[in-house]
Amino acid sequence: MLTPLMVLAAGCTFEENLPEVDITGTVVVPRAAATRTLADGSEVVDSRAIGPVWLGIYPAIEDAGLLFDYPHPEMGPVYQDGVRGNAYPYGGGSVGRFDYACFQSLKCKIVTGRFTDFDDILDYFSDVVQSPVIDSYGAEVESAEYFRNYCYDLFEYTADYELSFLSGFDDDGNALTHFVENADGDFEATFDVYHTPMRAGMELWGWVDVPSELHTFSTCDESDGQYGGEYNEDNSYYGTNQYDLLNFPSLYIAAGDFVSTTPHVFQSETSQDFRDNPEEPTLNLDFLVEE
Amino acid sequence: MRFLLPAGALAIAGLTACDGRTALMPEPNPDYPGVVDLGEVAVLQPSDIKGDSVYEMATYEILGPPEVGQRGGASASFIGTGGSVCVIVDPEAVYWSESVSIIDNKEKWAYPDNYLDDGDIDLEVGLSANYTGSPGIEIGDFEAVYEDSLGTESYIEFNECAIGGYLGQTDAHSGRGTVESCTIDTSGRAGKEYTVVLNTWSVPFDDFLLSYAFAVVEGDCGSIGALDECALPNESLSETFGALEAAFCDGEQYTFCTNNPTLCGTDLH
Repeated sequence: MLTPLMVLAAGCTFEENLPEVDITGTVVVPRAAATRTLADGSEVVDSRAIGPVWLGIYPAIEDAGLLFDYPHPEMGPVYQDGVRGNAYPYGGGSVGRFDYACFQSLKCKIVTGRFTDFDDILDYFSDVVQSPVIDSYGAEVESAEYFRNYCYDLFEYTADYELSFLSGFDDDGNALTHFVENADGDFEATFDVYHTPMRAGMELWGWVDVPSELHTFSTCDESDGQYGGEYNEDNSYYGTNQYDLLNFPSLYIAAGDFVSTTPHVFQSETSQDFRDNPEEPTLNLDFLVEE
Repeated sequence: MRFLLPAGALAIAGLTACDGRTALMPEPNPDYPGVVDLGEVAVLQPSDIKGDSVYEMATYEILGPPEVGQRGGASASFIGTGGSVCVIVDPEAVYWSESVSIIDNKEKWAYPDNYLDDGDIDLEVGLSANYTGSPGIEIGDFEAVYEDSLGTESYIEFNECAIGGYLGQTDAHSGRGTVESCTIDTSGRAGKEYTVVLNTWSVPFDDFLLSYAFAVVEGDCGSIGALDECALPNESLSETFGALEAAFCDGEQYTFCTNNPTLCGTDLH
């Protein structure tokens, strides 16, 4: 009887020697990316204002001024009029992604890992963005319970944890959102970039999409994503990230965004080298993109 | 050991089964080469493929099976007009799905299609400068290799023949016996040479000869009219097939198949 169990146990530890790696690290977003100016001119620092962080693994990153006014991955050939060169990423990931928070007025405005619960969203859009959440009837959403009921009805869910735009809290009451403020006053989050084919010398680079005044994002595509087909809704797509943002970052990086000046250059020669001595990069998004 | 014997027998049986399918691997036919070049074809006017003039103006040819391990097909070239042109190919023969529903059987589709007379051609079109094949010798494609600074290679596709699929993809192809067409925008490239590649996806099992009709027509494919089985008629240039296709185009294949059962499938539901 032991033999089959031993075979199964051996299967669990089998090393496939895949030529790809899973990368874990830390991304640092400057305080300015979490700072919003209110209508009265005052400033507020709020980690909920941090947009999605897009991370790509590229063959090389060119310095600011060479391809664009900010550091940017090397590009392949330009062979069509008006179409920039493809950056041909090896892999990529993000810290947060766009998610549909039940109301059209929130389409492309909600990033996962930023909000703990329904009240958190309502407070942020009311007090910080100063553009309250509006429901499908044009009325302001003031009640978290109404918000919850609307979402449960729309998605046929029965629990908050099914809504991925709500991060919730751990057992000790700590928010499970992505970013925490560090000693320098900047904000840090961990990231995972899965299934990246290993190339010696490849470079990790990324940027944070800083929202507009109305908390919209250039990296979100309102005309794509899951299609909402509810009879009482303004039927349309729920919005998702631009499908080619890692291939053509310059199409979506805009003034006010922050990109990383110094990419992490991977030293591992092979995927096995990486697994034996994992590199855990810290990527600073410290370069402000200007007009 | 007692376990190994049945396993060995199964393996032998499997090999035998593979041997049996060599009948579907045709030998090259010296009368009908598997790789041909049609040379430069004229860009026709839409009216050229209406009525009987289509038989003179369009290209009607036959491809044989290629050498084993070799890509087969035909290549042709045309000169960019500076506007849109429509490239159309219709491989033999006709294809339809048989109606097999017990409760709502459609008489029109009651006969199965004779799939043994169907071939399949996949269309690719691009600037001749991007074509990797040797006309009449070797079928190529429109892919180029880009090598990044770390030496990693990526393929860049210069095939401009975008055929939409059910899921919205732009690199789809029609199946057996079915017309393929695509619009090529030659604006800014008037006078430049384009290459059309008619890739042999499969030859008919009945004679291993793939008849087809092919045309390059001025204008957007959407403006020419229905580009279906009936657009380039009788690609086999045979009386019997012509009659079947004509019946199919008129929606009368049930009657035709009843009267000519050998030209249709036999597994009637």
